[in-house]
Amino acid sequence: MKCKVCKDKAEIYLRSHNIALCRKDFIKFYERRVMRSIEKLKMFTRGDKILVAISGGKDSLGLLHLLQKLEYDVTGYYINLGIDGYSDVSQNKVKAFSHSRGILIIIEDIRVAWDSGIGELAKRVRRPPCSLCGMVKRYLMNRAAVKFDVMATGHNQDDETATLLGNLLRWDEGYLARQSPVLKQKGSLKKRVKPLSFITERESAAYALMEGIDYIMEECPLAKRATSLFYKGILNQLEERMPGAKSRFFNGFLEYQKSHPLVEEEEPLVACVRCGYLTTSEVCNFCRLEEKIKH
Amino acid sequence: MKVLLPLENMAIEVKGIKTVGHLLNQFSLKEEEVLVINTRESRLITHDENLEEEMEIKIVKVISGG
Repeated sequence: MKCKVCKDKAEIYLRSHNIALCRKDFIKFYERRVMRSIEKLKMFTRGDKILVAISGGKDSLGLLHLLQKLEYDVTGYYINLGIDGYSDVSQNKVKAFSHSRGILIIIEDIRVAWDSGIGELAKRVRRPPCSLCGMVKRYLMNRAAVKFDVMATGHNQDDETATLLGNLLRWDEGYLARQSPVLKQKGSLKKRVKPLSFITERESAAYALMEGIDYIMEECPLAKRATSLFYKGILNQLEERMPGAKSRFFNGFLEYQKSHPLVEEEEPLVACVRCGYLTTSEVCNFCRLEEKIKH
Repeated sequence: MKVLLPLENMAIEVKGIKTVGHLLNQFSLKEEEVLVINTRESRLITHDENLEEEMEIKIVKVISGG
Protein backbone atom coordinates (compact mmCIF):
# COMPACT_ATOMS: atom_id res chain seq x y z
CA MET A 1 0.00 0.00 0.00
CA LYS A 2 1.35 3.44 -0.94
CA CYS A 3 1.06 6.69 1.00
CA LYS A 4 -1.73 8.79 -0.50
CA VAL A 5 0.36 11.96 -0.17
CA CYS A 6 3.94 11.05 -1.16
CA LYS A 7 3.55 7.52 -2.65
CA ASP A 8 6.18 6.07 -0.31
CA LYS A 9 5.46 2.80 1.44
CA ALA A 10 2.51 3.33 3.81
CA GLU A 11 2.75 2.42 7.50
CA ILE A 12 -0.91 2.77 8.37
CA TYR A 13 -4.24 2.43 6.63
CA LEU A 14 -7.19 4.33 8.12
CA ARG A 15 -10.37 2.63 6.98
CA SER A 16 -12.69 5.35 8.25
CA HIS A 17 -10.86 7.94 6.12
CA ASN A 18 -10.01 5.45 3.36
CA ILE A 19 -6.40 6.60 3.22
CA ALA A 20 -3.01 4.99 3.67
CA LEU A 21 -0.15 7.16 4.97
CA CYS A 22 3.58 6.91 5.54
CA ARG A 23 5.01 7.84 8.96
CA LYS A 24 5.81 11.45 8.08
CA ASP A 25 2.42 12.17 6.51
CA PHE A 26 0.48 10.33 9.22
CA ILE A 27 2.14 12.48 11.91
CA LYS A 28 1.24 15.64 9.97
CA PHE A 29 -2.33 14.42 9.39
CA TYR A 30 -2.73 13.56 13.07
CA GLU A 31 -1.29 16.80 14.44
CA ARG A 32 -3.34 18.91 12.04
CA ARG A 33 -6.58 17.26 13.21
CA VAL A 34 -5.77 17.76 16.90
CA MET A 35 -4.85 21.42 16.23
CA ARG A 36 -8.11 21.91 14.35
CA SER A 37 -10.11 20.59 17.35
CA ILE A 38 -8.21 22.85 19.76
CA GLU A 39 -8.79 25.94 17.61
CA LYS A 40 -12.31 25.23 16.37
CA LEU A 41 -13.64 24.42 19.83
CA LYS A 42 -11.58 27.21 21.47
CA MET A 43 -10.06 24.78 23.96
CA PHE A 44 -7.08 26.99 24.85
CA THR A 45 -4.56 29.38 23.39
CA ARG A 46 -0.78 29.72 23.59
CA GLY A 47 -1.20 32.23 26.41
CA ASP A 48 -2.95 29.70 28.66
CA LYS A 49 -1.30 27.59 31.33
CA ILE A 50 -2.41 24.02 30.66
CA LEU A 51 -2.35 21.15 33.13
CA VAL A 52 -2.36 17.81 31.27
CA ALA A 53 -3.58 14.82 33.29
CA ILE A 54 -1.42 11.81 32.45
CA SER A 55 -1.64 8.12 33.27
CA GLY A 56 1.48 6.81 31.53
CA GLY A 57 -0.67 5.51 28.66
CA LYS A 58 -0.45 6.30 24.94
CA ASP A 59 -3.20 8.94 24.83
CA SER A 60 -2.15 11.23 27.65
CA LEU A 61 1.60 10.98 27.02
CA GLY A 62 0.98 11.47 23.30
CA LEU A 63 -1.12 14.55 24.03
CA LEU A 64 1.49 16.06 26.36
CA HIS A 65 4.21 15.37 23.78
CA LEU A 66 2.17 16.97 21.00
CA LEU A 67 1.26 20.08 23.00
CA GLN A 68 4.89 20.61 23.96
CA LYS A 69 5.91 20.15 20.31
CA LEU A 70 3.35 22.81 19.32
CA GLU A 71 4.86 25.13 21.96
CA TYR A 72 1.93 25.32 24.34
CA ASP A 73 2.62 26.10 28.02
CA VAL A 74 2.12 22.61 29.48
CA THR A 75 2.71 20.85 32.79
CA GLY A 76 1.88 17.18 33.37
CA TYR A 77 -0.02 15.84 36.36
CA TYR A 78 0.24 12.20 37.37
CA ILE A 79 -1.51 10.40 40.25
CA ASN A 80 0.00 7.17 41.54
CA LEU A 81 -3.08 5.19 42.57
CA GLY A 82 -1.14 2.46 44.36
CA ILE A 83 -2.34 -0.37 42.12
CA ASP A 84 -0.07 -3.37 42.69
CA GLY A 85 2.18 -4.26 39.77
CA TYR A 86 0.81 -1.39 37.66
CA SER A 87 1.08 2.07 39.22
CA ASP A 88 4.81 1.94 39.89
CA VAL A 89 5.45 0.74 36.33
CA SER A 90 3.38 3.58 34.89
CA GLN A 91 5.06 6.12 37.19
CA ASN A 92 8.47 4.98 35.96
CA LYS A 93 7.33 5.50 32.36
CA VAL A 94 6.08 9.00 33.28
CA LYS A 95 9.36 9.91 34.99
CA ALA A 96 11.42 8.67 32.03
CA PHE A 97 9.16 10.65 29.66
CA SER A 98 9.52 13.80 31.76
CA HIS A 99 13.29 13.41 31.97
CA SER A 100 13.78 12.76 28.23
CA ARG A 101 11.64 15.70 27.11
CA GLY A 102 12.30 18.18 29.88
CA ILE A 103 8.61 18.55 30.72
CA LEU A 104 7.65 19.35 34.29
CA ILE A 105 5.36 16.68 35.71
CA ILE A 106 3.70 16.95 39.12
CA ILE A 107 3.46 13.53 40.76
CA GLU A 108 1.06 12.76 43.58
CA ASP A 109 0.76 9.40 45.39
CA ILE A 110 -2.49 8.60 47.20
CA ARG A 111 -0.65 6.16 49.50
CA VAL A 112 1.13 9.08 51.14
CA ALA A 113 -2.14 10.43 52.55
CA TRP A 114 -4.12 7.21 52.87
CA ASP A 115 -1.54 4.50 53.30
CA SER A 116 -3.45 2.28 50.84
CA GLY A 117 -3.95 1.93 47.11
CA ILE A 118 -7.26 2.47 45.31
CA GLY A 119 -8.04 -1.28 45.15
CA GLU A 120 -7.84 -1.69 48.91
CA LEU A 121 -9.77 1.54 49.53
CA ALA A 122 -12.55 0.36 47.20
CA LYS A 123 -12.89 -2.82 49.25
CA ARG A 124 -12.93 -0.88 52.50
CA VAL A 125 -15.66 1.53 51.41
CA ARG A 126 -17.46 -1.10 49.28
CA ARG A 127 -17.43 0.81 46.02
CA PRO A 128 -16.48 -0.44 42.53
CA PRO A 129 -12.78 0.44 42.04
CA CYS A 130 -13.30 2.28 38.71
CA SER A 131 -16.02 4.50 40.16
CA LEU A 132 -13.94 5.35 43.24
CA CYS A 133 -10.87 5.92 41.09
CA GLY A 134 -12.80 8.33 38.81
CA MET A 135 -14.09 10.35 41.75
CA VAL A 136 -10.66 10.58 43.42
CA LYS A 137 -8.92 11.53 40.17
CA ARG A 138 -11.48 14.25 39.31
CA TYR A 139 -11.09 15.79 42.76
CA LEU A 140 -7.29 15.69 42.87
CA MET A 141 -6.97 16.95 39.28
CA ASN A 142 -9.23 19.87 39.98
CA ARG A 143 -7.30 20.68 43.15
CA ALA A 144 -4.01 20.52 41.26
CA ALA A 145 -5.37 22.76 38.51
CA VAL A 146 -5.96 25.78 40.77
CA LYS A 147 -3.03 27.73 39.35
CA PHE A 148 -3.75 26.75 35.74
CA ASP A 149 -6.21 28.11 33.18
CA VAL A 150 -7.39 24.79 31.83
CA MET A 151 -7.08 21.08 32.41
CA ALA A 152 -6.61 18.72 29.43
CA THR A 153 -7.16 14.96 29.40
CA GLY A 154 -6.28 12.32 26.81
CA HIS A 155 -9.79 10.95 26.23
CA ASN A 156 -9.99 9.72 22.63
CA GLN A 157 -12.88 9.11 20.26
CA ASP A 158 -13.22 5.47 21.35
CA ASP A 159 -13.52 6.57 24.99
CA GLU A 160 -16.15 9.14 24.01
CA THR A 161 -18.21 6.79 21.83
CA ALA A 162 -18.14 4.08 24.52
CA THR A 163 -19.32 6.65 27.08
CA LEU A 164 -22.01 7.85 24.68
CA LEU A 165 -23.26 4.32 24.09
CA GLY A 166 -23.41 3.70 27.85
CA ASN A 167 -25.28 6.96 28.47
CA LEU A 168 -27.77 6.18 25.69
CA LEU A 169 -28.37 2.65 26.93
CA ARG A 170 -29.36 4.11 30.28
CA TRP A 171 -31.07 7.17 28.68
CA ASP A 172 -29.11 9.21 31.15
CA GLU A 173 -30.02 12.74 30.06
CA GLY A 174 -27.88 14.42 32.70
CA TYR A 175 -24.71 12.69 31.53
CA LEU A 176 -25.67 13.14 27.86
CA ALA A 177 -26.11 16.89 28.43
CA ARG A 178 -22.65 17.09 29.99
CA GLN A 179 -20.82 14.96 27.39
CA SER A 180 -18.68 17.33 25.36
CA PRO A 181 -15.05 17.84 24.25
CA VAL A 182 -15.11 21.11 26.25
CA LEU A 183 -16.55 21.52 29.74
CA LYS A 184 -16.70 25.15 30.74
CA GLN A 185 -15.42 26.43 34.05
CA LYS A 186 -18.13 26.29 36.71
CA GLY A 187 -17.21 28.17 39.87
CA SER A 188 -14.12 26.50 41.30
CA LEU A 189 -14.41 23.59 38.85
CA LYS A 190 -11.78 24.24 36.18
CA LYS A 191 -12.45 24.24 32.46
CA ARG A 192 -11.74 20.73 31.12
CA VAL A 193 -10.92 19.87 27.52
CA LYS A 194 -10.35 16.69 25.53
CA PRO A 195 -8.25 17.54 22.45
CA LEU A 196 -8.18 13.90 21.24
CA SER A 197 -11.98 13.58 21.10
CA PHE A 198 -11.90 13.10 17.32
CA ILE A 199 -8.87 10.79 17.22
CA THR A 200 -9.35 7.02 17.38
CA GLU A 201 -7.54 4.89 19.90
CA ARG A 202 -5.63 3.17 17.09
CA GLU A 203 -4.49 6.51 15.63
CA SER A 204 -3.39 7.64 19.07
CA ALA A 205 -1.36 4.44 19.63
CA ALA A 206 0.21 4.75 16.16
CA TYR A 207 1.21 8.36 16.87
CA ALA A 208 2.80 7.39 20.20
CA LEU A 209 4.76 4.54 18.60
CA MET A 210 5.88 6.65 15.63
CA GLU A 211 6.99 9.49 17.91
CA GLY A 212 9.01 7.09 20.07
CA ILE A 213 6.90 7.45 23.21
CA ASP A 214 7.47 4.60 25.67
CA TYR A 215 4.03 4.18 27.22
CA ILE A 216 2.49 1.55 29.45
CA MET A 217 0.76 -1.02 27.23
CA GLU A 218 -0.72 -3.18 29.98
CA GLU A 219 -4.34 -2.65 30.95
CA CYS A 220 -5.06 -1.50 34.51
CA PRO A 221 -5.67 -4.79 36.40
CA LEU A 222 -8.69 -3.26 38.14
CA ALA A 223 -10.28 -2.27 34.80
CA LYS A 224 -9.97 -5.60 32.98
CA ARG A 225 -13.70 -6.26 33.26
CA ALA A 226 -14.70 -2.61 32.78
CA THR A 227 -17.97 -2.07 30.89
CA SER A 228 -16.21 0.50 28.71
CA LEU A 229 -14.03 -2.27 27.23
CA PHE A 230 -17.14 -4.29 26.39
CA TYR A 231 -18.74 -1.26 24.68
CA LYS A 232 -15.54 -0.59 22.74
CA GLY A 233 -15.57 -4.20 21.50
CA ILE A 234 -19.15 -3.80 20.25
CA LEU A 235 -18.36 -0.46 18.58
CA ASN A 236 -15.32 -1.95 16.86
CA GLN A 237 -17.46 -4.78 15.49
CA LEU A 238 -19.71 -2.10 14.00
CA GLU A 239 -16.69 -0.22 12.68
CA GLU A 240 -15.42 -3.34 10.95
CA ARG A 241 -18.69 -3.76 9.08
CA MET A 242 -19.30 -0.04 8.56
CA PRO A 243 -16.06 1.98 8.44
CA GLY A 244 -16.58 5.43 9.95
CA ALA A 245 -19.52 4.29 12.13
CA LYS A 246 -17.86 5.40 15.37
CA SER A 247 -17.09 8.91 14.20
CA ARG A 248 -20.56 9.29 12.61
CA PHE A 249 -22.12 8.18 15.91
CA PHE A 250 -20.11 10.66 18.01
CA ASN A 251 -20.08 13.58 15.56
CA GLY A 252 -23.78 13.07 14.91
CA PHE A 253 -24.46 13.28 18.63
CA LEU A 254 -22.50 16.53 18.93
CA GLU A 255 -24.40 18.01 15.98
CA TYR A 256 -27.71 16.89 17.48
CA GLN A 257 -26.75 18.49 20.80
CA LYS A 258 -26.31 21.83 18.99
CA SER A 259 -29.77 21.81 17.42
CA HIS A 260 -31.55 20.07 20.32
CA PRO A 261 -29.69 21.08 23.48
CA LEU A 262 -30.29 18.56 26.23
CA VAL A 263 -31.17 20.19 29.49
CA GLU A 264 -29.17 19.10 32.44
CA GLU A 265 -31.28 19.10 35.57
CA GLU A 266 -29.06 21.34 37.61
CA GLU A 267 -28.88 20.50 41.24
CA PRO A 268 -27.63 23.62 43.00
CA LEU A 269 -23.89 23.41 43.65
CA VAL A 270 -22.57 24.55 47.00
CA ALA A 271 -19.09 24.69 48.47
CA CYS A 272 -18.20 21.67 50.60
CA VAL A 273 -18.12 22.82 54.22
CA ARG A 274 -14.76 21.09 54.74
CA CYS A 275 -12.71 21.75 51.62
CA GLY A 276 -14.68 24.25 49.53
CA TYR A 277 -15.00 21.92 46.51
CA LEU A 278 -18.25 22.45 44.60
CA THR A 279 -20.70 19.69 45.42
CA THR A 280 -24.43 18.98 45.59
CA SER A 281 -24.39 18.12 49.29
CA GLU A 282 -23.00 19.70 52.43
CA VAL A 283 -19.88 17.53 52.42
CA CYS A 284 -18.32 16.41 49.11
CA ASN A 285 -17.73 12.75 48.19
CA PHE A 286 -13.98 13.12 48.59
CA CYS A 287 -14.24 14.44 52.16
CA ARG A 288 -16.76 11.74 53.00
CA LEU A 289 -14.32 9.15 51.67
CA GLU A 290 -11.53 10.56 53.82
CA GLU A 291 -13.79 10.41 56.85
CA LYS A 292 -14.67 6.75 56.17
CA ILE A 293 -11.02 5.82 55.72
CA LYS A 294 -10.06 7.38 59.04
CA HIS A 295 -12.72 5.44 60.99
CA MET B 1 7.96 -16.30 11.21
CA LYS B 2 8.09 -15.18 14.84
CA VAL B 3 5.05 -13.34 16.20
CA LEU B 4 5.35 -11.39 19.44
CA LEU B 5 2.29 -10.62 21.56
CA PRO B 6 3.69 -8.33 24.27
CA LEU B 7 0.53 -8.07 26.37
CA GLU B 8 0.24 -11.83 26.60
CA ASN B 9 4.01 -12.05 27.07
CA MET B 10 4.11 -14.62 24.27
CA ALA B 11 6.29 -15.35 21.25
CA ILE B 12 4.77 -17.77 18.75
CA GLU B 13 6.26 -19.37 15.64
CA VAL B 14 3.79 -19.42 12.73
CA LYS B 15 4.14 -20.81 9.22
CA GLY B 16 2.37 -20.35 5.92
CA ILE B 17 0.79 -16.96 6.64
CA LYS B 18 1.05 -14.70 3.61
CA THR B 19 -0.30 -11.30 4.69
CA VAL B 20 -0.92 -9.20 7.80
CA GLY B 21 -4.68 -9.57 7.23
CA HIS B 22 -4.37 -13.39 7.30
CA LEU B 23 -2.23 -13.18 10.43
CA LEU B 24 -4.86 -11.11 12.25
CA ASN B 25 -7.57 -13.58 11.19
CA GLN B 26 -5.44 -16.40 12.55
CA PHE B 27 -5.42 -14.73 15.98
CA SER B 28 -9.07 -13.55 15.67
CA LEU B 29 -8.01 -9.91 15.98
CA LYS B 30 -9.80 -6.90 14.48
CA GLU B 31 -7.72 -4.46 12.43
CA GLU B 32 -9.24 -1.54 14.37
CA GLU B 33 -7.94 -2.92 17.67
CA VAL B 34 -4.29 -3.55 16.82
CA LEU B 35 -1.15 -2.19 15.21
CA VAL B 36 1.31 -4.52 13.53
CA ILE B 37 5.04 -3.84 13.62
CA ASN B 38 7.87 -5.28 11.55
CA THR B 39 10.37 -5.27 14.41
CA ARG B 40 13.52 -5.67 12.29
CA GLU B 41 12.66 -2.56 10.28
CA SER B 42 11.04 -0.76 13.28
CA ARG B 43 8.02 0.28 11.27
CA LEU B 44 4.29 -0.31 11.23
CA ILE B 45 2.87 -2.41 8.39
CA THR B 46 -0.52 -2.34 6.70
CA HIS B 47 -2.96 -5.27 6.44
CA ASP B 48 -2.16 -6.03 2.79
CA GLU B 49 1.60 -6.29 3.35
CA ASN B 50 3.21 -9.61 2.39
CA LEU B 51 4.87 -11.53 5.18
CA GLU B 52 7.99 -13.65 4.87
CA GLU B 53 9.24 -16.52 7.01
CA GLU B 54 12.32 -14.69 8.33
CA MET B 55 10.29 -11.72 9.62
CA GLU B 56 9.62 -10.91 13.27
CA ILE B 57 6.21 -9.33 13.80
CA LYS B 58 4.86 -7.63 16.89
CA ILE B 59 1.12 -7.22 17.38
CA VAL B 60 0.24 -4.34 19.71
CA LYS B 61 -3.29 -4.12 21.08
CA VAL B 62 -4.50 -0.53 21.27
CA ILE B 63 -7.72 -0.72 23.29
CA SER B 64 -7.67 0.33 26.92
CA GLY B 65 -10.29 0.85 29.63
CA GLY B 66 -10.14 4.63 29.34
